[in-house]
Amino acid sequence: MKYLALAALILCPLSKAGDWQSDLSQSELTYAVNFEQLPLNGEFKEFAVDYSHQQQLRVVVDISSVDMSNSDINEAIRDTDWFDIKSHSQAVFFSDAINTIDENQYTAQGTLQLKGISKPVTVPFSWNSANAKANSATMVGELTLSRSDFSIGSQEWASGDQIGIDVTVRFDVQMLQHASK
Amino acid sequence: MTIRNTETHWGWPSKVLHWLTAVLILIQIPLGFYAEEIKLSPLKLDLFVWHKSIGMLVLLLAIERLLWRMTGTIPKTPDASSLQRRLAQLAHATLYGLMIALPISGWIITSAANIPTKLFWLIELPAITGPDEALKSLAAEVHEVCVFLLIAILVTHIGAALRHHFILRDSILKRMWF
Repeated sequence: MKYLALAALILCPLSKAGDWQSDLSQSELTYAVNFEQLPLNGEFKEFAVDYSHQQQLRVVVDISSVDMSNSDINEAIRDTDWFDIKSHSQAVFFSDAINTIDENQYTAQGTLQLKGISKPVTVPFSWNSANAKANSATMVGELTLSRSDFSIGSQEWASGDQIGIDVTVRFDVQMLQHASK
Repeated sequence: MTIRNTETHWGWPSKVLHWLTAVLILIQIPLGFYAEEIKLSPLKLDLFVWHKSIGMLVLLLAIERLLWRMTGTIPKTPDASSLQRRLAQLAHATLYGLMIALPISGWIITSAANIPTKLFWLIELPAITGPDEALKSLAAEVHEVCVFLLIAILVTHIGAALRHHFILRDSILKRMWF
């Protein structure tokens, strides 16, 4: 039994590679939605990703940082029928079930809390350590969410005719490794 | 009916394009005002797709009509004072100018506003500018000034045609009809 404990003690530092955190200045979180049958893009300017390789992923998005490059649209999406930013200014995705799909390809099965509604979501992503620096990596991925799952664009906007239901979310995040605690 | 215009007659292409444009513009003006005025809703978005689609169609027809005029002839103006003839020419030139300026300024508005558009939900209209709030506001002001000018010219255009027909009793309006 004590050999097991010794082994665990020796192996422990290797199993947890240290916390990775996003460098916002080198990262982007964007989305595309159909607007009268053509894609319209938006982005979230403030978000933070915390990741322990193959163990835990947490993404916190400041929803109020949303920008669709149009002042009328930006004003409308802050309203109660859409993001309802006054009541829900943050969205959080958390996963502690990271699966390996292929070389550098993973999925994070977790929960997304958006506009106060929690739904199971799986986020696929690639993880590539930059060649130059040992403590930086790039996390890239794309997934499609249904805005109706989160009551975004409700009431008269619920049909999906003018503004599509499916939203393609894309992220390209520069991650930096910090020392283990 | 002839195809080409002559010194005394309009050919049917000119007539068809004239009345088609007239109907489209008479729809466009109230459509634009209404779409602009109502609050944001799915209907507002749909109305703007119609407005932009019809607008670009008017631009296309105006260009076609101009090419047709330039490569052919147009009927002579009737016996009228040279002042009246000049005013008529000015009014028509202004109408052509507005049929180009209004769609172009509208195109700039939608481009600068970063709104994608599929004309009649079929053909994508490419953006001619990047997103630019200041440019969008400027183009919107130009668009609005042009609409009021258009309304003023249309009142005189339609009024003059009716005057020629009912008061002067000449063939000016008749010759634009079939």
